[in-house]
Amino acid sequence: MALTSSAAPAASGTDAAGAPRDTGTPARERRRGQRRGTGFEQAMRAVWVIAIVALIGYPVAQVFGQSFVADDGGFTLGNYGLLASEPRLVEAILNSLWIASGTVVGSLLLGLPVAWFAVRTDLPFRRFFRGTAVLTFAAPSFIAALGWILLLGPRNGLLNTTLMSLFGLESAPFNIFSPWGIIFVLSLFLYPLVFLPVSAALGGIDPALEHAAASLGASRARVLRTVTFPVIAPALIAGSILVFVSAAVIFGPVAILGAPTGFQTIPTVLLSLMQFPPRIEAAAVISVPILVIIAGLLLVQRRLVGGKKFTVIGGKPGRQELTHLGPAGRVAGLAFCTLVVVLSIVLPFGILLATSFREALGRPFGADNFTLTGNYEQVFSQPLITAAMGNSFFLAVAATVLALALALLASWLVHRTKARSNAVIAPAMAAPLAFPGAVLGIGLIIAYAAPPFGLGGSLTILLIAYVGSALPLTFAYVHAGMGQIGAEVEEASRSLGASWARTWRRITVPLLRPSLLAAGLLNFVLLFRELEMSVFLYTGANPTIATVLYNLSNESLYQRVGALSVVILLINIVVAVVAMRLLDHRPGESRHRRTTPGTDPYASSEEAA
Amino acid sequence: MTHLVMSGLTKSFGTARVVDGVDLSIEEGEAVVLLGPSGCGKTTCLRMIAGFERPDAGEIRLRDEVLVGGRTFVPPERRRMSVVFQSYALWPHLSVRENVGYGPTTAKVGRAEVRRRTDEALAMVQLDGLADRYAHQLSGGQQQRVALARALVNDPALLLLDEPLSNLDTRLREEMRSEVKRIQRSLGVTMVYVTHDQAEALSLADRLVVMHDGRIVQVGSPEDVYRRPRTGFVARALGATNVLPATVRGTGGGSVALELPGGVPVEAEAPADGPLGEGQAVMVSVRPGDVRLTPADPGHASGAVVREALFFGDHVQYSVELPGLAEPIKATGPSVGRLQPGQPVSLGVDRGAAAVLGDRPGTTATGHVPAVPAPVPGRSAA
Repeated sequence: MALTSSAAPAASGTDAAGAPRDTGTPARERRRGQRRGTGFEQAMRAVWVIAIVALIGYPVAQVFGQSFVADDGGFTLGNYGLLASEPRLVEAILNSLWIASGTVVGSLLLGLPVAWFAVRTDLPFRRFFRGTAVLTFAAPSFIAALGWILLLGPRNGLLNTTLMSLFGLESAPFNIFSPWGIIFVLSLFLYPLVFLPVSAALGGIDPALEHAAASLGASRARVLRTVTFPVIAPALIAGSILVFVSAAVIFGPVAILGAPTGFQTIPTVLLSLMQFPPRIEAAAVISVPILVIIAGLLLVQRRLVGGKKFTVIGGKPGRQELTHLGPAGRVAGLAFCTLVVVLSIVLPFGILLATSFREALGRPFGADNFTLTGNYEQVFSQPLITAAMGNSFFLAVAATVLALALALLASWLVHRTKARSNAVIAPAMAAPLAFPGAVLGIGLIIAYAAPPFGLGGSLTILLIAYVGSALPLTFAYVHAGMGQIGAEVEEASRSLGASWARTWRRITVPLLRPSLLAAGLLNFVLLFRELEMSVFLYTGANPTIATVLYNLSNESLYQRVGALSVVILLINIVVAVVAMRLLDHRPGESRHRRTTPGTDPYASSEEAA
Repeated sequence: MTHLVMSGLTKSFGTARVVDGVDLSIEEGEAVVLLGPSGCGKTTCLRMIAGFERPDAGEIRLRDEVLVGGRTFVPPERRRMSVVFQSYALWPHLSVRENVGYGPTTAKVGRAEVRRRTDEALAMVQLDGLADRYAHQLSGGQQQRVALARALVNDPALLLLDEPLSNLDTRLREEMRSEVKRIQRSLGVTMVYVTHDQAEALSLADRLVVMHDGRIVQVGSPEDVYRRPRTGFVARALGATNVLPATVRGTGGGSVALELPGGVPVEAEAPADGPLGEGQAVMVSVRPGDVRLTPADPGHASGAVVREALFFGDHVQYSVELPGLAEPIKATGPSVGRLQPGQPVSLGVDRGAAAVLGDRPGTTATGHVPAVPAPVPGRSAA
């Protein structure tokens, strides 16, 4: 019974609390125990909260706040009267809706047939067409828009001049500087948002559903209408909503293609409102309804994707019979899918490449108008551009690292701690998806540009913007990766004498490597050429590669635009290829292959110790 | 010498109290098995010993050191407890050698020593040749051996095993069971083993701890707990049994004479908790293997009739209907001379094979009765 006496201090402490052992005390003890046990955890949670508030919460709250601030600093709803008194604000909203609706239609016209051909038929090269759809989405849309100016510009567009000389036309048949041109370019860029979910849904339909309908005497058209379409409808609507939201608030292509005719949508009118003298309250007033509408639409989209109502999708994918296309069908299918690839990738980026080797824009293509390095030399000899390269590189790397750290912290909280508030973390990390770059940019300007922070135009404010916008994608990858790693794998390390820090260094992070790499490289690619927020935060002091390119195109220096675009695309491609190589093996397997019998496996263990 | 002491351990998740005042002390070199159905708190107990969970109340001490209690909390890495997980938790990015060498490497004992101890541990689990493989290149049984070697290499103060064999198929499980026993014996390591499998529990334990609803319901040697279960719950946890109402017919000489419905006589050891009076109604546990069936004439005294006879090759499982009992009695018999359904039989129970339970008659049908608290030291301290 020695234990009884030595256990006494703890027990008497309990007694001192004055409650009978079986009722109040355990609960009280428990609460105290949890508080003690989670000191580190609570500190980490606090770090996360502060980071999210600083990156997202505070700037967005500032946008809302400013829309209610009167000139004298008091509260007012009067700012919203601007919507009535300034017709160009209403016009910009209507233009955004018009562009967004048109792009939805365009994306469906492109995405649905490609999805059906690629998933449900025996079309040759269908894997290739699937792959290029993903690739399109990773390509920068404003660079594609620049390419289309060179192809379908009303005066010098290569396709226009070719068609004019072929058919003896008086004027250019197409004008890319129009709402139709914008819709055309945006559809070619955004159709993957329809293609990807719809092809997943098509591929996931249990063939038994369709067979059942067919066996009951339904014709093929009737099966398509009564079974197939209703099953893919949620994916189709969800994809369309994403296209709508993206097209309504995208800045780059609209600004480039709309500027010559003064066609403005929400993001471009926001930018003009923020030019000197800035009219922050007007920008805030136009931002708030946009945020509310987008949030509503995204909630609907979430519901459709996560809804239980359509869980029939499942079954045994991959066991579907592919529709056999006849010769005519094959030709038509190949022609259509090839056309989509040519229009979305080959033509716009090809013309930029070609233009980057042109000596003068005014003269036609030809051997006498060729310079291999001239335009590239010009680009790289400009200190502004080399500085921009450096800035973009630094910002992309730093923001990627910080976003990864924050995503690691958040997914650690979600997966390894038990707090009711954990349910907030995932939605908070995904929230930036709902904020257009323009609105987030304006929020950051209101929040941090002026004293006491005084960050206007600095690299720091760009870094804050980039980290915030990188969170959703980073978290999605890291969170999924963390979900694959059982807590026991970490506990095993702890029980063998490794501290928490060593466990993370030697076990958790190495196991997360594929997710971290994927998220990191993808972020780098997207942030390196970020335009949507940069253009709002740019004040002339710290150029980034995208703002430089944007300004070059405003000055119509298209050979340099071509050269710089090619450089950006090359960096994108190299990083993407490296990413695929690094990701294309299982951990352990490659190590095993490399570990020859003679090498000492402890070398790696020792260096970490 | 007392090695590990748990006293008044309590842990809740949300509103559910998973561990509810557990007191247990473990001797050095002892193999203790925690047995119980899922959700009985056995794994949580193990995780609290390892330091993965923090008890809401109570104390754990290793020799003279308080691991947790009051304001003290020793983190897992300073407890010298090696854990073998149900999932094995092998690190897929490290080779077998790196997995096993992780503990010594972390302890920075020097390269040569790491290698020596790793080789020794791998030899112990008979995996000498596979040191450079990765987990996904091993079979389930081999993975289990790596997990064991990784735990043993650290010379743990306590070896904790959480249902380590439940992912293996039956034959491998039997093989690994004797392997664990052999290694534990030869190293003399103190072991806490959590399982819901009665065969593992009975064969591995020096001392068996049966848990139910977060409490310890019985502690004792495997034979003792098997032969003298204190409740129907414990009796069922250790294998198929019949929990039957009986009437006390006489006591004396350390044994009790009882009578089952139908007048079947049974003799049991007298329970320790208190004397039984003649005519008292009690519950008894009788294992199917201890029930003897002999053919009888129709209309014999007890009225028992075979309802079902399932042939298993080496034995036959019978289900016998006895008038006055809601559920049939389970019995096993030799496969030679098996009885057919409909055959009237007379029942007999081997001498001393029955156990008088602490459950009150009429409440035991489901086995979820309030358990008789086990008289464990330290409980009165609070």
